[in-house]
Amino acid sequence: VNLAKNQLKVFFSFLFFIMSLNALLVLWTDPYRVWNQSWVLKTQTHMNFYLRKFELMPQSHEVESIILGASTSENFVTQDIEAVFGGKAFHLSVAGSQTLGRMTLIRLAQQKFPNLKRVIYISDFYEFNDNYEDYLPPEVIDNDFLNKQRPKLSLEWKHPSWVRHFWQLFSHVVIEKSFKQIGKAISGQEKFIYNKKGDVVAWSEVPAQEISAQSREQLKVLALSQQGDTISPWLSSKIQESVIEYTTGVLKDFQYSQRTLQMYTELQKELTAKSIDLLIVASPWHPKFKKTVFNQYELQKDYEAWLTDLQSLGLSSQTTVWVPTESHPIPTLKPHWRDGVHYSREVSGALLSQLSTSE
Amino acid sequence: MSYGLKREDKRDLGRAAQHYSDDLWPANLYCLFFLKGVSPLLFNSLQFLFLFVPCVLLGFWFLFRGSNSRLIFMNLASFVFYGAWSWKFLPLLIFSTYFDFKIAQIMEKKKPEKRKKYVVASVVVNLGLLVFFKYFYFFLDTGSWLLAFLEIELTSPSWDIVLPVGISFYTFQSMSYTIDVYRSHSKPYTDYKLFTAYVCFFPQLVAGPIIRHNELVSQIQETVKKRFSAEAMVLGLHFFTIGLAKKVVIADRIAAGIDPALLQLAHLSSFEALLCALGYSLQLYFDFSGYSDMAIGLGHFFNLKFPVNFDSPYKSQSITEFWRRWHITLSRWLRDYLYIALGGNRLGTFKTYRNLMLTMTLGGLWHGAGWNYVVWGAYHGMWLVIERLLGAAPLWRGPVLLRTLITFLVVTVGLIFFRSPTMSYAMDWFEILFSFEGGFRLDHFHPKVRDKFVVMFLMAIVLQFLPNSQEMVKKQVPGYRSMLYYALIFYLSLVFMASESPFLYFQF
Repeated sequence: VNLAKNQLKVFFSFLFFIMSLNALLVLWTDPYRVWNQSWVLKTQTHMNFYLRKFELMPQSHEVESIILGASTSENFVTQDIEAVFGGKAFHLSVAGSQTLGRMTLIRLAQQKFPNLKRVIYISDFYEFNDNYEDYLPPEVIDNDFLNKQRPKLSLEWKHPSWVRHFWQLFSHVVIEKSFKQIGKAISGQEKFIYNKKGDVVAWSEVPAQEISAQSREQLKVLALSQQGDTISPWLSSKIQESVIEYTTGVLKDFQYSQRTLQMYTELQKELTAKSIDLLIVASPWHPKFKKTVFNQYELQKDYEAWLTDLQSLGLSSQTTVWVPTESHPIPTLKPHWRDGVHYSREVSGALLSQLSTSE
Repeated sequence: MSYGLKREDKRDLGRAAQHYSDDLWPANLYCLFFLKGVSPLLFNSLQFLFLFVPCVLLGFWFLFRGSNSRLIFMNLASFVFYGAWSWKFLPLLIFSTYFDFKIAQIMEKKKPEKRKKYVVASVVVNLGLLVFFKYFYFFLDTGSWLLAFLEIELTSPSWDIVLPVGISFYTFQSMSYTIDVYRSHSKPYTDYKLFTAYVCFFPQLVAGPIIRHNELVSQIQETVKKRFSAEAMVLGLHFFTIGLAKKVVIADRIAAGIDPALLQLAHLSSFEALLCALGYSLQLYFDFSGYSDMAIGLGHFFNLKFPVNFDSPYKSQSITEFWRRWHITLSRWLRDYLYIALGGNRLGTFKTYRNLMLTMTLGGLWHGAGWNYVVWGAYHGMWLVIERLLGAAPLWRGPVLLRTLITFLVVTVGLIFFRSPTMSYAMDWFEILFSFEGGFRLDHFHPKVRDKFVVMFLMAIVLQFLPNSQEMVKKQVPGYRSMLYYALIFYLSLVFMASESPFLYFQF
């Protein structure tokens, strides 16, 4: 009996010991800046991209435009926005963000930019999957500051907060990030993802392009030139990866969310009341990606409903909507697509110029 | 999978929950105990591991001392567990249990020749529930399809029938009890709490093992009088930890590789299709035997010994042996209550083969309402008949390793039907598999999970050659070093539990 009792003590003590070490590591490195303690490992960058965007936003009366969306809109560059619309711009896209996360960022931007005139919102179809309509990542919901900024959720979190905190401490993803933080601190070589204007550094380093009218022409030319062209094996495999990633991730068990549409309407009302224009772009998909997804999953009807609903938002005087249609051919060649859903700076520049003419 | 709760219900519950702040403890309790259609009490969830199990164990061993109070507490805990999955179906569970309890009592008072109508009532009610909830649309669709040949159109009602979780398991358990009483193999129980504790005991409620009343009831009677046993707890930790790691570290990693690939079936190469088939065989074994080990471990926590459910089935050298090692509690249920009821091997050679085929085909159908399951069952029935036809000699000559490999491949081929959502999907899978095209690349395995999949796939194969969790205990009682390893494995499983994933057998 004593042996068994001692064995139990060994099991629970050792388990407690390893779990404590794990918890201390994550608390100390705090890669998502969730705990916000003064004694965390000091590194200049962290992986809470929402907080990072907030930190980068200057208190400025000059910023008139913000752009936001997910990774699909990270290819937009503030320089191009400024060229098209004038005034200063700031980039608030965060990869993988959902509607509520974006609305949180818009609220933060309004605090920082009192003269904000326009919100360019790159809408993603997956936002309308009702599995994610109330999704906020742990780095927002578990961060006291960001959590206070978020809009109220219709469905409070499915897990109690202690469960979320527990995941945060013991998730292998967070542990991996913790070690990366330590690596950064030791090497002193930090990789900055965003520049001072919130643009993804890799994109903003591309030489500035002459866009507007010229890009519009370019789009048409490319659209014509693609006829008869075959997609390269490289792009084809990347599109295939996108199909897997989307259909097993954000599009999984898709059911069209009216709640997301309602959030869009609320956002529209909120901005209209403050005389801020809302420009919505329905993020286009590569035709092959779209065809594969539609062939294998019954999503075409919902996809079309999404475009129709966005267009109906455009009926309001202070809202402009751009949706991909047959009259808006999208180039399919490799330089303009990284995979099935991410396109080039040229394409995004052309979208901006089309948006400005319809505004 | 709906876990007994429709999407709209989840949302309604969610809306009710918004009145609570998520930082308030009552809200946590609310979420934990009443919002489980959204987040059910899976064995591999934090709520279960760190709140439900500790609370139940503390209550059972230290808070309540009397036999009656412990039984009541045990039943309440099981109801909370089941209610967390689908509280709407809790009355159904209670009704089913009570009905069989009463039927058995009534039968006891009747002469053996007058018992038949009561046992028939029990079978009809239990199978009726099962057929309605599980097979209604299957039979209706099949009927419509057949009537279509006669140019008769059958209008199908648009009822949204949700499968109550665990119904296939608990109806079989309680039905076997009434059959035993009918056959005079057993006396009926007089204590409803005890019978409920047997049918509804949470570790085996939703996905087995299918335990016989005479294996568990007497143990429950004993354990409610006993004191906490540290030895049983150590054994429980051994089984539970191994089961958790099997599920979370191995089965889920393999699933992360093959599930996305199988969504792209039409684009897979033959090699990828083969890897998916082999991977699914390994996933299903580690998933379900992991669940069974966890259930056995939980049983030990209450000083209860559950029967073995898996005995290294992929070490089998024939299909006959495979069924002695795979889902053992279901196999013996089918043998005792179906195969023998049909006449077993007492009615001549032809009827023996017929009974085998029928038993395996119905066993296949038990797994799911689809023709693919029927075909899977019939496929195994066919192999059992072939092996029986060939007599005692093993079907495949050659070294043990070769026979084992061939048996594994035969099982894997069958599992293609099992994994496929439809028959046409299964046919497509076979077509790709035997087209021998596409080379040896793994293009359709997502790059982010490909490496982990390969590692876990190989590890799963290696583990087949090692002793299983039961053999490990028989060989050597866990010592101090084992406890350190278990703690480490438990921790690693926690870390890999990034998200809860349901066990495959919950859908049956």
